[in-house]
Amino acid sequence: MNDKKVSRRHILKLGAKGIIGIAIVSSPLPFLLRYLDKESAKANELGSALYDPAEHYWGFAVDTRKCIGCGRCVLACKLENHVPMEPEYFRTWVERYVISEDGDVLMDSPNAGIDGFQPLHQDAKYRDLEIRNSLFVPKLCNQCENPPCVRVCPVSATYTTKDGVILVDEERCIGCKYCLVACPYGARYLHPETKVADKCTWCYHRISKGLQPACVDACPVGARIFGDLRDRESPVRKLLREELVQVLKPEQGTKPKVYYTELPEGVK
Amino acid sequence: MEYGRKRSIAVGRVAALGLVFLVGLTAGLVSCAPAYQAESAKRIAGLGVEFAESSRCQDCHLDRYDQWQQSKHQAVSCEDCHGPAQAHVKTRAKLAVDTSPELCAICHAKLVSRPGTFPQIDVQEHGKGLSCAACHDPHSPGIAAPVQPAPVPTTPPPAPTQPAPVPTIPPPSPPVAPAPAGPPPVPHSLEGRGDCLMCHKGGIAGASRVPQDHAGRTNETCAACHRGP
Repeated sequence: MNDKKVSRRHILKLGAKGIIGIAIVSSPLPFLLRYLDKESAKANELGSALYDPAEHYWGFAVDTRKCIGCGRCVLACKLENHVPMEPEYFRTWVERYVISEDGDVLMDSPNAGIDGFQPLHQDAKYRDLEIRNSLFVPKLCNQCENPPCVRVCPVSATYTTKDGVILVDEERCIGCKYCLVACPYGARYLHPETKVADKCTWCYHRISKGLQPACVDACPVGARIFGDLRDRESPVRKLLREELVQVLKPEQGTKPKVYYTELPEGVK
Repeated sequence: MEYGRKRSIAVGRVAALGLVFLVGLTAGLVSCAPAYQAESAKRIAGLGVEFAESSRCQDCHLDRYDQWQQSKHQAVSCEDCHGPAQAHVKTRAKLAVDTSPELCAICHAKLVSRPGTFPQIDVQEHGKGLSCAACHDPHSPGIAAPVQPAPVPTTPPPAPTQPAPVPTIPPPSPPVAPAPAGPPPVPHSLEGRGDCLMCHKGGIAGASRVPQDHAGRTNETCAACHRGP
């Protein structure tokens, strides 16, 4: 032990300089790691299809004037994405809206519309109603540009891809269901077997192969339209150009990317 | 006060360096995030498909595909009725062929919520519980203008001559193979011709003979399927 006294202030100063020095020196480290990740990811991509998400920005449109409520889309989605057949699990669904002469708005969606719809007079709810108007509204994940589901995820398991699709990393999801609550459209559900959050992905596994989402392919009347918003001649851009469109719940500020030609006034 | 000023400078420097540290750390962490996301996206993109899309059916079923593509059902995908076919492409296992009226009714039953321009019928009244395919080939459902798949060209027979008061009956259409889609419309006026079987039972006066599977049917039922001129 030497005679020179080391003051507390001196130790603290030394410590602070040390910490700050290490921080400054190590701050480029994440950038370096990311660069290395990218390099290894490129090497792994030799096998997968040459799909570059950065080249596309996907969009979806629904022409409610055409929908006949047949439910082929709901069935095709369940078969394509192995969604459990029980009624409470669905990635896409069809709602029927009935507007009475008195202005009341009623909605039903039996089993998400997968078996179609029965005539109104067969449902006690509608039997004595004078109907002014009635139509079908298909719904699915809006892949919002300002997604509340992504924001609330405590483990960042759900994220937005470069091509504008919101996915769930099933290996990171802890099944807390916060995103189920956060979504104002009710697009998410907890998968009963994997116990992680699940939702419509616009058939990411199909669109990245040049195919259309299963529901778009299944629709027999062309009520569902899919395309690249970057491509001016894509079906979605064409519809956006030719029709006036609106989105569901614009007041929520989610900036959905599913555009509807017509929505009834009381749509939920 | 010299000590106080020195202290403020020191604190200021520490704070500035701390800020640099925080900015560097945040930028690094934020840009680090997509590393696992790219893996996840790749995994999801690599999942297999169940539906092959109708264009894939064209590779093997060209004649059916062409017939369907020209028909009113061209927007109805093959797999809407036949089910997901990606597995069939590999294994060639027979796909379901559902000719029940229930399948057609899913789209064509009359519902007030459906657009008025969409063809809808009262299923019970129109089809009487029979399979819709008896009159409507799903690959060419229109009765008035059925699309014939690859007709075989033949020379038409000469027009038969008729006595003056009876108007000429146009010659029967050339035979086409395979079987025509839907019952042929009546090519002549029904004026004075209420008894269909009078000519068509025996195939007299150039009239086409009633086919075998029409056994037991009477004059009243002919008009139900064979639309008038």
